[in-house]
Amino acid sequence: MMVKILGAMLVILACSGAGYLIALEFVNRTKQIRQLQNALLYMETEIMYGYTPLNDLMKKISQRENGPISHFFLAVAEELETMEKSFQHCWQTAIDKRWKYTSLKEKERQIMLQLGSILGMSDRENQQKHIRIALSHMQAEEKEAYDAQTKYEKMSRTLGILTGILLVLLMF
Amino acid sequence: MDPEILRILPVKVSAIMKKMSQDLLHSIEEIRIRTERPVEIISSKVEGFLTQRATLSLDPKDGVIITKEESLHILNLISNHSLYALEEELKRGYVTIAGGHRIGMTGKVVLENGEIAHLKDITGFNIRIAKEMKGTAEALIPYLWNGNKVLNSLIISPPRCGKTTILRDLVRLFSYGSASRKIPGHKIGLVDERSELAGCVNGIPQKDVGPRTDVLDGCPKAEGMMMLIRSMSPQIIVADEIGRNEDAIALQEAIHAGVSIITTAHGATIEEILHRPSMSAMLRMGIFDRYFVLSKRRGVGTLEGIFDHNYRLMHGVAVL
Repeated sequence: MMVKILGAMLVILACSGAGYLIALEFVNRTKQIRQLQNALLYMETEIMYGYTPLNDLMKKISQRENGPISHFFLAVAEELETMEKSFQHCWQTAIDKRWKYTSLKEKERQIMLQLGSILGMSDRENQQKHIRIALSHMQAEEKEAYDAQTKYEKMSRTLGILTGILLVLLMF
Repeated sequence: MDPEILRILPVKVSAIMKKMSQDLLHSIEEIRIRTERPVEIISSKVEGFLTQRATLSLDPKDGVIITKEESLHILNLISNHSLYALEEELKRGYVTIAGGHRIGMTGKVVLENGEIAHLKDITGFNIRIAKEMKGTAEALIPYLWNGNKVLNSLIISPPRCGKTTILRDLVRLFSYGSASRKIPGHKIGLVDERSELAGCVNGIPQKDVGPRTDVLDGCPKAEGMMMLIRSMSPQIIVADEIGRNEDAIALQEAIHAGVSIITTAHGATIEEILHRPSMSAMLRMGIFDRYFVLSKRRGVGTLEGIFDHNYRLMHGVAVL
């Protein structure tokens, strides 16, 4: 009997854990999109008023943010240090390497890839224009991510626990 | 060779440079890179196109060709992948990199309201290797220093005769001062319009211009001189290549503020300078006490003569 109860507890724990993780993905996506928006805003100021070159800029952003977003920008900075490839190439490599550790989706990836192809390639005014475009796309994504979060965050958590209980009831 | 220069050169070029004889390597003055054409190297002794065997050839066919990708990469490395950070420099057509080396650039000019807005499709680079020649101006000191102040001086020289080098050395000498000559260290305001004298990168001089020297980097000379008088109370103001009417006004302001002036002008003789309208006005105002005329008759930095305020010869030909 003891073993049975222990097993049942484990099943419930595992299911609610899974539900919790799914919910966390929704929360993280919104959070990371906001981090990217911050990074873009910071990028804009640094380019417009600080004339900061991209290698320094990447490091600075990485210090300001945390988690996977910080690691992504750090990866770009590290790629740049090898001095052998173009900025776009370094940016792309960093996305390929680090994207899987974020909770971001394909749309955000496209926005960032697009931005990477023009960063550093033109004068300040033009840079600002492109950063603004990326920002407005990000805003749309943020809204969508937030909607999804409010809809599914609680639901996946509850569903997790409920699934656990259902499984236990079926087993008994 | 300075690692800063090797860093921006295409890999295949820097590999060849490493094989080059030390003698040639150290005498290089300019590396000229043109897209889809051979690399040209100008040294103080020889010039020619760089070959695979690390020698120089006069036949362009022997030269190492630079591809489009390679020249784009040079630009990326010069700008740290950030063209926007070089906007001003692209307008002027050159950039100073760490180590004080100047890189001139050519490409397609973009105009805005008839003025040069910036350069794009940059395909030509002239890397001018900066060399500091410390002590070259020592010989001039007795003529510049009258015992308690620095005399207003004009260095006259055609291009590439060591004018900037000598001016920089004078700045350094007066900034440090000299105990043996009983010259105290002077506060110097340096207006470095073309980033040539101090070779600043992010505002920090890459060349030794002395401990008491304040540098206004990339600033137009006339405004810069006025700004320094107001803000930094210099004892000596130094600017390279004066020649416009505004410069004359600023120089007069400086002299009447009790500041000494050391500056340079393009020309081969005093007579030549007197034929340039704005310069002759300056000379007639009696701004300068000493004129130093340079040439490269006996190598770069040949002193043709030192003249006093009445253009009388004080000292004849010498090699600095």
